[in-house]
Amino acid sequence: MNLALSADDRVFQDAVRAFIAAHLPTDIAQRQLSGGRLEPGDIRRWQAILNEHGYGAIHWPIAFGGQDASPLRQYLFELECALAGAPPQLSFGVRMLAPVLMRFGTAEQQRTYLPAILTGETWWCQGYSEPGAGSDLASLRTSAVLDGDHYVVNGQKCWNTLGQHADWIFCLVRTDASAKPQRGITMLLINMKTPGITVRPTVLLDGTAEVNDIYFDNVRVPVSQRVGAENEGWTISKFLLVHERTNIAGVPWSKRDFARLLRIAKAATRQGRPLLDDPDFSRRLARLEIDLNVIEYTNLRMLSAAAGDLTTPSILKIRGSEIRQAISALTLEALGTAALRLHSVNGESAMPEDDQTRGVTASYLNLRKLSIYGGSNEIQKNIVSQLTIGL
Amino acid sequence: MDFQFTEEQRLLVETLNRCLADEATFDQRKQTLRSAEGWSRALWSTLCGLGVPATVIDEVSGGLGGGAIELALVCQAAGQALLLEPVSSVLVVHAAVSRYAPPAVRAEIGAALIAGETLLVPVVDDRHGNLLATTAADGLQISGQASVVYHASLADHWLVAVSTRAGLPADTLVTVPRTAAGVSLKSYQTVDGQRAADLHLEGVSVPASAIWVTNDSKAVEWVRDCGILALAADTLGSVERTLSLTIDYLKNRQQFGGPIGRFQALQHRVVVALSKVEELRTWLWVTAARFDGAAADRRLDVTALHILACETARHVGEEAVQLHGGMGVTEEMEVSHHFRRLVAAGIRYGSRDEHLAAYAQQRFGGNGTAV
Repeated sequence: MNLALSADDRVFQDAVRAFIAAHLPTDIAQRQLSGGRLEPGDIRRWQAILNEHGYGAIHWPIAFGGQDASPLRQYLFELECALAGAPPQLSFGVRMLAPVLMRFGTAEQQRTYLPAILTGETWWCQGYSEPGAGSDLASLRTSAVLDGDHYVVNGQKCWNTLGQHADWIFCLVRTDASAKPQRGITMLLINMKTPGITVRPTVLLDGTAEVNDIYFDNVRVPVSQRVGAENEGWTISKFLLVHERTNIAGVPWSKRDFARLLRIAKAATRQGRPLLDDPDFSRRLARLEIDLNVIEYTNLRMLSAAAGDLTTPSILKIRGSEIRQAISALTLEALGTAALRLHSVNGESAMPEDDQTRGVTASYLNLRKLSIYGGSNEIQKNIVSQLTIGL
Repeated sequence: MDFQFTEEQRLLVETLNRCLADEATFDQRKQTLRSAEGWSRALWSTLCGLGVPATVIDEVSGGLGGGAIELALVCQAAGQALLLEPVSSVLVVHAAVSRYAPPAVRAEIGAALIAGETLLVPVVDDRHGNLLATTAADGLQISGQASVVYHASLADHWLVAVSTRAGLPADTLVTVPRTAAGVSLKSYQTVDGQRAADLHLEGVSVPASAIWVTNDSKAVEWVRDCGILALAADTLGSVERTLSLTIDYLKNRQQFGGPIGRFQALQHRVVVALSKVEELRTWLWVTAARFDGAAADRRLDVTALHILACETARHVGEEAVQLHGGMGVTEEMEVSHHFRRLVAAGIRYGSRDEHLAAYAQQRFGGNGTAV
């Protein structure tokens, strides 16, 4: 057991730091560190910069333009990016669809779609959930019926993240209604400009429109845009979930948020005295820091394990989301009544761009999603229980 | 970055667990609990035969040269097996031998310690004690008390942490024979079935040759941190076993026409407990792996470890009893024995709150320790 980074990994980390210091645009970093809000333009710009310097998708195989980076290096990379105020990479293309195409896609599909993911030219979104298929995804009903060399797609997707900016969507559709729910599902790639697609943003409790309803009305999709075989979609989506593990705990973002919490707490006073002099507050802060350190190393332990314990990813998802939510809640309390100010009203900014406290409340509200999406924490507990008790 | 144990470490655990599975069964424990001595010399001899006391003594002194990881691995096995023998106490002192015992002491008692013939246990958990040393002609004179010292009545000698100035933290480590003039002790069984004693020292004279370190409160801290590490490892072993007993019970106990483990309300409680165990496991090995780093970092790691161990001990112990239903509160069930061991673990070496205040103070300064 040796918890120090190897010399090679330290060289990698130093190179990442130097790259970020030289190339992360300050306006992007400032927006991220103060508000944390996702700006589509920032994400595209940053992806292009990453790609120019060979960091477009470090976990991809070298043959596809990646670095074949180890899970540990992926973590180090994301950590450095998050702490410096880089926006997150759009995971739908880089992390979710790309590994699927590399495993299940045709050579033609790989040539067509992968390069534009790397450069950030194509914005991908995901069409999984439906009004009647949330945690119980296999009950999805959006249908695709073969008509010559096209599928005709009809139905509704919801909780689609950032699809209003998307060029393409990868979608799970039902191609066999008579089979068992998991057996009749197929994955299709659909250009968002195809006639018959309507995108309606859903306004969320933090005032943003981060998710959408997407309606498909006789949308014609060439068969060549099917990934894998017909009715193989469930297998593909399970493969995709396995590939989504390295950052399931969200530790880099929690560390960034905790650093902001510390900055705010150190500056805050109550009744004329430093907030950190309040023993209740400082102990809660201490307890949270311990949780954060522990989840970081639990995550690292999983990443370094030759054959990971299958229950660990779910535990990381549960604890990682709980801890990040707890950080956001304590930040809100550290701010006190200042947290009540909305940073904008009807698009008019009420607080300065560089105000460090600007995004605190919005992010507290927004992060409720962490314990709900990607398999709610209760579903994760069912999974762990299935693997341990098995009843 | 490497989280794997070495081949030697894996072998150590395998050998120990194989032995304990045969010779430290739950039935044997119940017999030992009823015995006058309260621990099994036969089992202790077997463990000595395996080299347990030698584990963390340096190779020059004839030991196996293990460090914090080996210490924790042995204590984890001891916790799993609910040992009543003074394994963790002895190993904590033995870890200190290589680091702090004067060469003359090592030469004199090293072999007997390694053989397990001489038992030396720590008296360092002194929050409730007030042992004070004054300088005497040839050495020190010690007076004061220490309460609930685990395994003190079984030991031949104690490694005692004493203050040389009243009101200040202990800064001297010195060995005191249990039979020294001026020593009196009241021994009893603790809630977890182990043997402990309250010590009373009245002008006990110890020669200069018995002093390991003096004017060095950091050394005392180091030994105490070893004690916390050992206790946390014992706790990890105990909660691991507790969890597995509980999962077995949920699979087998039939109610309403099937095993009760099919109920989601119970399943989710198990998952919460399991995730706490996983987190304690992470931090135990992180703390052990970095134990020999800078003192301030080690203090922070150990403090966090103790907080996690206290919380996990309490949570997993209470949940396990609840999930066992009425059976959980009976003497006949192994889980109730683990529960009591975990109750003790949550109290020894200072409370969770005390350690959390210390952590906050060290990290954020301010007035965090004010209650």
